[in-house]
Formats: sequence, structure tokens, C-alpha cells
Amino acid sequence: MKKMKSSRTSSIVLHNLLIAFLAFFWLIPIIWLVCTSFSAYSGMNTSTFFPQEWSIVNYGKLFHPDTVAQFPQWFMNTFIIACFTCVISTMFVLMVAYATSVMRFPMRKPLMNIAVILNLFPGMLAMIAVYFILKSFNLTNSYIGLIMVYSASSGLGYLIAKGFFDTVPRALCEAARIDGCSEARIFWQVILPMSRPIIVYTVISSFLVPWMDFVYAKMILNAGISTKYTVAIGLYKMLDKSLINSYFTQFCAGGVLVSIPISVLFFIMQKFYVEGITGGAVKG
Amino acid sequence: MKMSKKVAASVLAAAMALSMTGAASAEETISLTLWGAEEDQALLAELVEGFKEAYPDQSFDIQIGVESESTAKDTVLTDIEAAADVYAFASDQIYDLVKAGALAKLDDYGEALQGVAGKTLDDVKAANDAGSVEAASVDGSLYAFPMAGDNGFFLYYDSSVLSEEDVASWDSLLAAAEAAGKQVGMTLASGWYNASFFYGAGFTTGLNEDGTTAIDWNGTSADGYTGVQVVQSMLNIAGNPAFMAVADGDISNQLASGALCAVVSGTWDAVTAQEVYGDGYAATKLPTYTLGEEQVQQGSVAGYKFVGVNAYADNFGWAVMLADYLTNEASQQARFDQREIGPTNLTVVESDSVKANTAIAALAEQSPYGVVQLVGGKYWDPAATMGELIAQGKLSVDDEAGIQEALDTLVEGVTAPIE
Repeated sequence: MKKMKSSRTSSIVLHNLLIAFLAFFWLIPIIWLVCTSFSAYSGMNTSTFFPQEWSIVNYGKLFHPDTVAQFPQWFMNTFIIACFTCVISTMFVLMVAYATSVMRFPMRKPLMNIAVILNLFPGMLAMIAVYFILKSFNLTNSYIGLIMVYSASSGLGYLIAKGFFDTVPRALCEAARIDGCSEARIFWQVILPMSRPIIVYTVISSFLVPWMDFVYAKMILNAGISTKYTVAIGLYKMLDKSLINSYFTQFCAGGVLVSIPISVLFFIMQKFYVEGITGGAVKG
Repeated sequence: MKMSKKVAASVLAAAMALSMTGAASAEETISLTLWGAEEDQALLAELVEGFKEAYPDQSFDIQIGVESESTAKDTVLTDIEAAADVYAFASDQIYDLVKAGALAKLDDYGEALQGVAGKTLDDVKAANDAGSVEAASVDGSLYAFPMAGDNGFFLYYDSSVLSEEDVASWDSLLAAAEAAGKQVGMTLASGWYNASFFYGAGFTTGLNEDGTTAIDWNGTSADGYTGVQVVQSMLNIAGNPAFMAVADGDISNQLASGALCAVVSGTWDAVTAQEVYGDGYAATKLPTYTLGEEQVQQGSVAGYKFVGVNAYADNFGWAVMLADYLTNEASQQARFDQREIGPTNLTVVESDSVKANTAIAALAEQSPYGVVQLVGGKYWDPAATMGELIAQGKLSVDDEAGIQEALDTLVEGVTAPIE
């Protein structure tokens, strides 16, 4: 009996050691990024892991834009794009999920399958086509074009939200329908109030898309006007061969700051977030 | 609301009045887009203001965008129509840009230039360094205005560690560095840097009409040296413990770490070198190296930066005018004063302030040995691999057959036809 207990403790110790080991390696780059962002040196110096001199000057510089680093402007641009994308694609996702989960209509199953299959294709495949279509409508170098790209196909990612809506008792919808509710009213006043976790999950994930995207932003905002950049392109431009010596640590500071709104959003909505994905996963 | 309507109405009325009073074409606002390097933005904004003042009768709407000269080709060729009307680029991109039809042939606009700016294309050619004009021409026609002539490399060193005699040859340089417990850095794994040894020994590269590269490095050069001998010399240098083969793009990082007392790099590292070496900051031409029994001057690649006009520009005439303005004597002087960028304009080159600049003086010292590197796209990877083999000591100095084989492989890869 005693032997078994000791073997269990040793296995717990081993597991935790393994986890600590993995966590250590996983965290190294992040720790390095944060440390380097507090370095007083402006270029890239990899001879020491920790900066030789500590300073918060890089954060100060980020908020005093020069012609190269216009961080506050980029941050605002990205934030505006992210907010619009977030609202539009959240609506798309939830509406598609509602239609496929609650409503019954012919072609429901085939449409669902097509949507899932389409969503399996990497979005990058359509990149060039998207570019030329946007160009012909004169939507390149505009935020409207970018927002369209980010939110247009988001409805295809309806599956998790549909899984969640499936768990809402069908009797509620039927009762509402008997009382004369329209579909819109069932959606807004019956289903949505009961689906807070999945709304939170959808909001976060659609907010993150433009926040983290580089490829489409680089392709569509191709006039090179730096006040129109999003954060990702702006930071990337700081790594140019001729700029890296004076902007590398500012780049790191920018990288740290970018993660702040996302982290805040996560902390506030963390509880719902976990409920959201697991709730949606029970019935797939 | 009412207010804004009123304003709009009055603007409209004014516009109509203007268009009725004749000379409508001159009143039209010319919109141009311009791409320049990120660190040039403030300077460009200033120059563009100067350009507008130079032509007060014409109203302009000039938008300045960011595109580094080193990546201009890639971005322009992604979508030429969406690229800026006037853009700056590095000289090695000119062939691809011309071939893709992304650059306007300036010969066709010489008259316009003469009419408005009062000078001919020949004046432009005469005002700039001959090498830069040659590099900006394809098949004898000028395709871009030379803007800067500092896209080459030379030797930075710490004069508190190394003397002028030490930096004269690789042998003395490495010996002195070893004695001081420091290292000498150079990038070998790049066809831009490692070609310097071959060019020094009289080897050449060239561009064929079909876009393939001609290269003779596996044979014997005009100066009578064999490619094997050059590689042997490079191996001797790379094998020295005081030599550090620096990865491409990592020079400034290694420089900042303080391990290097001398380094082969270009003007873009001037500020870092100045910080690291302090009072000992010095620069000179590249050292000589031992080839067979003799000392041979290491060559280098002479690169330039140009301003070109997009072949799809809407307002050709004015675009050419702007490109010319951005590269004229006053603009090059301003570029040097503000950014310490080496000029191509001969008057500016000869000015005292330019001559007093350590890095640009060293570049000028090296320039007689500089070669305009004509290579196609297939050149870079095999050349980088060759450099990597040498840097890592994968080849042995005594194994002449092995070296010859590696050179043959290099030549075969570089001269491969373009599918």
C-alpha cells in the first residue's frame, strides 16, 4: 500500500517536472522579448540574454512617433479594423449557427457540409484572386476592403457555435414560436441571452483575426503610406536592414504592447471562454 | 450642415470660374506617388516641398510611401500598376525591372526634361559618376537617375587596436587581431561579399541576353590566377582563428557584441561602428590577400541606388521631373548632410564635407577596385553555398580536385538556364 503511494507521488513529481521543463522552453522567447524591450540599447544585441542596461526608453519612444515608428496611429488603425471585423463576423457566425442549428429547411445538411469543406481550404489560396477583385472595385488600400476580407467568410466557422446552440432546449424555441415569435425574435431574445459563453468566444476569436493578420494587410495596404499601416506591417517595417540597428528594441516593445489588449480581453472573458469551447464541443 | 453646403457651393463656383478662365490643363492638380526608404521619409518630404516650390505654377498632390530600396523590385513587380510613379531601388534590380517593363525609358522623355528643367539627359549623365550612369543604363539607354553611390563595402577597424599597416593585408590584419585577442568579421555566405575575392583576382560575372548568368570562376582569370587558387586563399583566411565568418545580415549585431576589431561592411553600419569603436573608429579600403605567391587587392561590388519612373505612371512628364529633382546636386547634398549617404553627383563627391566623412572616404578609396556586379537570379544561392562551404571549412586547402569540383558545381548551378 505504501509502495503504491510513493510510486504515485514520484509519477506526479515526474509529470510536473516535465511540464515545468516544457513551460520553461516555451516561455524563453517571451521572456526574452519582454526583457529586450526594456533594454537601453536600440539595436539588436544577442551576445547576452538579458540586456546590459535596463530602461523604459523604448516604450516612451513608441508614443513619440517619428516618420518610421508611428505606433499609436497603427494601433488605432488596427483597433478600428478589429472592432468592425469583430462586430460583423460575430453576427455572421452566430446567424449561420442559428440557421443551421434551430431552423429546418431543405438543403440544410448539404449546405453545412459545403461550408465545412470550404472552410478546410487555406484562405491564402484565394489571396491573389481576392487582391484583383478588390483592385477592380478600387478597394485596395482601404480599410473597408480589409474588413471585408476579414469578415466575409467568417460565417463558415459556424461549427462550434452551432454545437452550443444545439444544447439549448428545443422546447424553448417551439414555445416561442407557438406564442407567435418570428425567427429574428427567437434569435435575439431567446437563444442569444442563453448563449453568453459562445458569444464571448466568437467575439474574442473574431477580434483576434485582424489583430494578428499580416499577410492580407501587407497585400491590400500596398501604397506604402505609413500612417495607414496596421500594427503588424508597421512593426515588420522596423526590421528593415537599415532600420534594425536603431529600432529593434522598439520593435520588441511594440510586440509586448500588442499583446496587451488581447490579454485584457482574455482576462475579462476567461471564465466564459472555457465554457464556450467546451460547451460547444459536447455536441458537435 | 447648412454651413458645409455653403462652403461646397462656393468651392464649386470657384472651380468653375477657374476652369472657365482658360489654361485649364495647367490648373489641373498633378497627383504623383513616390516611394522611398523609411529612414528617408523626412528628407523626402522636404525635397518634395522644394520640388513644389520650384514649379509654383503647377499644383501637385504628391503622396510619399515607404518602400526600402532593397525590396523595391519585389514589391513593384507584385503589381506594377499599383506601385508608385517614382520609386527608389538598388542598382542590382535594374535588369529585372526593365525586363518586366516596370521602368520608363528616360531617353523618350529627354525633351520634356529639357523643356521644363532646362537640362538634357546628357547633362544628367555628365553630372554623375560614370560608373553609376553605366549601371543605370541597359543596352545604352538610361532607365533611372543615379541617387546614391554607397551601396558597396569596405573595411571598418578599430585604430586603437590595429595600425594602418596592419589593415593593409589580410595576413597582417589577422595576425594583429589574434595578438590583440580579437577577431575580424566578414560575411562569406553571400554572393555579394564573397565575389570580392574573385573580382580581385580578375574573374568576372556577366549577364547574358536571355537572363542567365555568365561566370568563369572555375577556370583561369584574365590575370592568370585559377579559381582553385582563390578558394585556397579564402580557405586560408577563413581557417585563421582570428577570422569570424558572420552570417548574412548579422554584422551589426556581431559588431555591437564587441568581439570584432575590424569588419567588412558598408555605410549602413557606420553608426554602429562609430558607437562601438569610439575614438578608434576608422575605415579604409579592403585589404590585399595572398594569392599564390603574390598580394592581390581584394575587389568589391560597387552598388548604387537609383530613382526610377514607373512605366505605368499617369503623369510621365512630371514623374520624370520629380525623379530628376530628387537626384540633382542640391538633393544629393541634402541627402548627404542629413543622412550621410554617399553621392554620385561629381560636384557633391568633390565637396569637403563628403571627403571628410570616414566611411564614404573609405568607399571612395575602394571604388577603383569596385565592380558592377552583373548577375541573374540563379547566381545567389550557389554562391552563398560556396561561401558557406568555405566558412565552415568543408573544403581542404590541399584538396585541389575537391575545390575544382565545388567550383564546377557552382558554375553549373549559376549558369543553369531559366525555366
